[in-house]
Amino acid sequence: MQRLRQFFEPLRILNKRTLTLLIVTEVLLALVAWQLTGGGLIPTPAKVMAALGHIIQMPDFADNLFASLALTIKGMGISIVIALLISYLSIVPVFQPFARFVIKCRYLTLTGLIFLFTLLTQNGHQLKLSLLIFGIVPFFVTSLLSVIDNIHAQEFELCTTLRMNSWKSLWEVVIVGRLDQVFEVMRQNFAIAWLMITSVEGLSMSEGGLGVMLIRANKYVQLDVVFGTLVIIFIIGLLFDYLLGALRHWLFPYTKLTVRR
Amino acid sequence: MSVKVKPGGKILGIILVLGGIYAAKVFWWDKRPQQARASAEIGKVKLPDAPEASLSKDAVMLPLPGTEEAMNGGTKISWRIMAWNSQFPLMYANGGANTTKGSLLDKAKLQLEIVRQDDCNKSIADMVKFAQEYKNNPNAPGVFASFMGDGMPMFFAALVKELEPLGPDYQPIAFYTMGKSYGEDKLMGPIDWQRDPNNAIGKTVSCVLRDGDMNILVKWAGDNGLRVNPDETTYDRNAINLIAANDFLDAANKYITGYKESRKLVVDGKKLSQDTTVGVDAVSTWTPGDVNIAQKRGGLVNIASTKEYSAQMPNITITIKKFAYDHRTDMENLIMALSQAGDQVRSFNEAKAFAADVSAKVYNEQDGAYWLKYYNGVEEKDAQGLKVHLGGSMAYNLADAANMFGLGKDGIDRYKIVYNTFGDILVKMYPELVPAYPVYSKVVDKSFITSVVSNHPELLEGSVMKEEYAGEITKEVSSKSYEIQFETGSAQIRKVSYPVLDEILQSAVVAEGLKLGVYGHTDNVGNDQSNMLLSEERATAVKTYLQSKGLSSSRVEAKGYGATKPIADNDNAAGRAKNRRVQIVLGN
Repeated sequence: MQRLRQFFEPLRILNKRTLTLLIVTEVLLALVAWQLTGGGLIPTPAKVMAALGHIIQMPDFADNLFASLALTIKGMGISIVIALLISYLSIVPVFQPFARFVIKCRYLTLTGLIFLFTLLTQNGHQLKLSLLIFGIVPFFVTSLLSVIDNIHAQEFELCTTLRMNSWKSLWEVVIVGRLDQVFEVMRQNFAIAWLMITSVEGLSMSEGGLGVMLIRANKYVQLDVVFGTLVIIFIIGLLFDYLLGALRHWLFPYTKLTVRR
Repeated sequence: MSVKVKPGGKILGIILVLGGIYAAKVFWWDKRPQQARASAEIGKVKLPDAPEASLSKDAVMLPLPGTEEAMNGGTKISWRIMAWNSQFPLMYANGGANTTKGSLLDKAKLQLEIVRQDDCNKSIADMVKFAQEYKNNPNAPGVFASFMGDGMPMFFAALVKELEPLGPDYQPIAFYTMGKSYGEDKLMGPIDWQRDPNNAIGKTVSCVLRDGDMNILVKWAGDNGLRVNPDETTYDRNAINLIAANDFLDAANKYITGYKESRKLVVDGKKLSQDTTVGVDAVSTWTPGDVNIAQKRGGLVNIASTKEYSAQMPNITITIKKFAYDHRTDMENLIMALSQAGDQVRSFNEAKAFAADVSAKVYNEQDGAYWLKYYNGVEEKDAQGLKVHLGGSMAYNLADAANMFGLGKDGIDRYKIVYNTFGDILVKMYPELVPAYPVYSKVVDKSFITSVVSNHPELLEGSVMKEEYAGEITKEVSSKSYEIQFETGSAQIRKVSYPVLDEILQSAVVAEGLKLGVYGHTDNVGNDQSNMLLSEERATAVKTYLQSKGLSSSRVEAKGYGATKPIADNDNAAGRAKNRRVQIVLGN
């Protein structure tokens, strides 16, 4: 009873074992509910698992997986460099309006821009990459600017006390001092990149990819394969989430000091 | 982590790991020996064995191309196509996604790359980009694209406008057709629409707006005298209403999932503030949309398809005018290769199966058996036990292509009629989106195919695809009464009615798979025998006119019914005028 109550108590921190137990139980309950309500056109978890096994054994699965991963990592890498450049420069007043504009680009959709990007790029691969970058950068910049905005005035004051000029302060406080946050920003926005993968891969199917697999299965209403592919995309997403978090803590061990648990 | 590494070293480590994975993929995984298809045996001599072979009994099957990429140093062309079976000739002629050794295009000294692109707008963008590039660099590889013929007015309208700044030489032209949709594009509806088309009034059809599949619905409705409400946001209970779908598969899925949406009521042309909820009653789609409907839900049959409207959807290939004129020899060689390929695919089962295998490779989807099955078309029982015909495409040989462009024996320019028919419909239904479309003679360039036809009569050996017409119409697909004016008491057609007759001719040309019935009717004034005779003579007069325009006599049946089938009251003048009519039926 005591144990049950702690599940419903706000601000309560569970120990690792109990938390794991809770997660597993909830996942199992969800799966059972799905298994019981599924059927007809909606594939049950059992069918999805079977499809999952089938997908992984496909001869071109590894190539498709790699195509998507390579595209995403490439896109993320280039995007983070561009976003960092824009964010750091935004501290310099002359670049401020540009950075503000980039943030607002989040509200643009790709529909009308595909034509433009086709004219600007050399081939299908570049088109996919540039659309992906165009989609991710505004989100990166938004998060990075909010990181910069949240820096305490004290830190800058400390730099002034130490007789640093403004460029030196920028380097110490904003660039070096917030490097760990870059991983956090990437981790939080990786989902956006992953979300866009299907829409950009559909534009140039010749290289394959998870998005292409999804589109293809969807064409024949093979929902079990679609869900199986979604599960793969989901798992890889979680994996990256964990990986980027772990990398942050490994590269910047001091970040562990400020976390509650 | 017991090893003490500074952040800089750690980042270097991460980059090294990623680089290592990438290198392993490129230098090991991609290089590992993979099973390739065994190359075909060369030199087998086979006689035509396909049903309805276009080549005669003494024709010989060409050896199938190999799988190795050809390096003939010829003109480079990149070709955008959607996953469509009408492109079997291209698949056969190219031997793979890139021209292979020993293929017809290799012999024509061309290096062709086939790129699948399901998004037509993207192909149009590629075409615009190519025109710009070609203007700056005459050595740029050519870009071709193939679309459905009835959708061309819209594509050309968009392209012509985009390319205007580059000057008249850089306008798009259509120069050849390698095949057509022959059953796979269709309007699927409840079975009672077959019995009486009026059952479709007040019902909904989900489709991609302004697409070829919607054209089938619009044509079927028009031939039956039914109105279509072009506005996808309102509901008119006296017309057929459209439910807009994203793409042809979404159109099918909207029916499969039991989709509903709320619409504003329209009464007497006025939008009311009242809402009504509508579901999906019918679907305009193409393969595998029709297959999905049959397997996942069923309950719909083919109301009309490109099997009946068999001239409606040729596969039309376009490029930029200047490129075509700069490479005239290449273009003619290409047409020769594609037309030979059409004959091979049509005449030899092995060649057809080979084209299907190449399709699977190029589209990177399903296997050869799948594409072959739906090229041929199949009859299957759907989820509710109804029989549905699924798929169906046709490859063209040179004679078929010549026929399409009016270079055949009957002189009917089928494509001109299709282009103008559906261009006019587009402008009529959506004037705000497509106010005008380019003139046929401006965008269709027959000079290449004309030259091939006149210089290479040997390629015309392959017989034209023949439509078999029933002796008598037993199943009506559409029926509409026309008012044709005759001189009083005679079968002499008045000149004012010629435009009406031409409209009937055009409708019949698009619906090449159907027999045309011309049925004369009179009012009850005068005696029955002379009425019967007059109505027969008048029907025959219409038939004679249509034959003079190129329709074959086996295609048209003329009958007179006198006053035996009135559709209105003969007691007043208005009713009698209604009864004096010519009924035009398309059926088989």
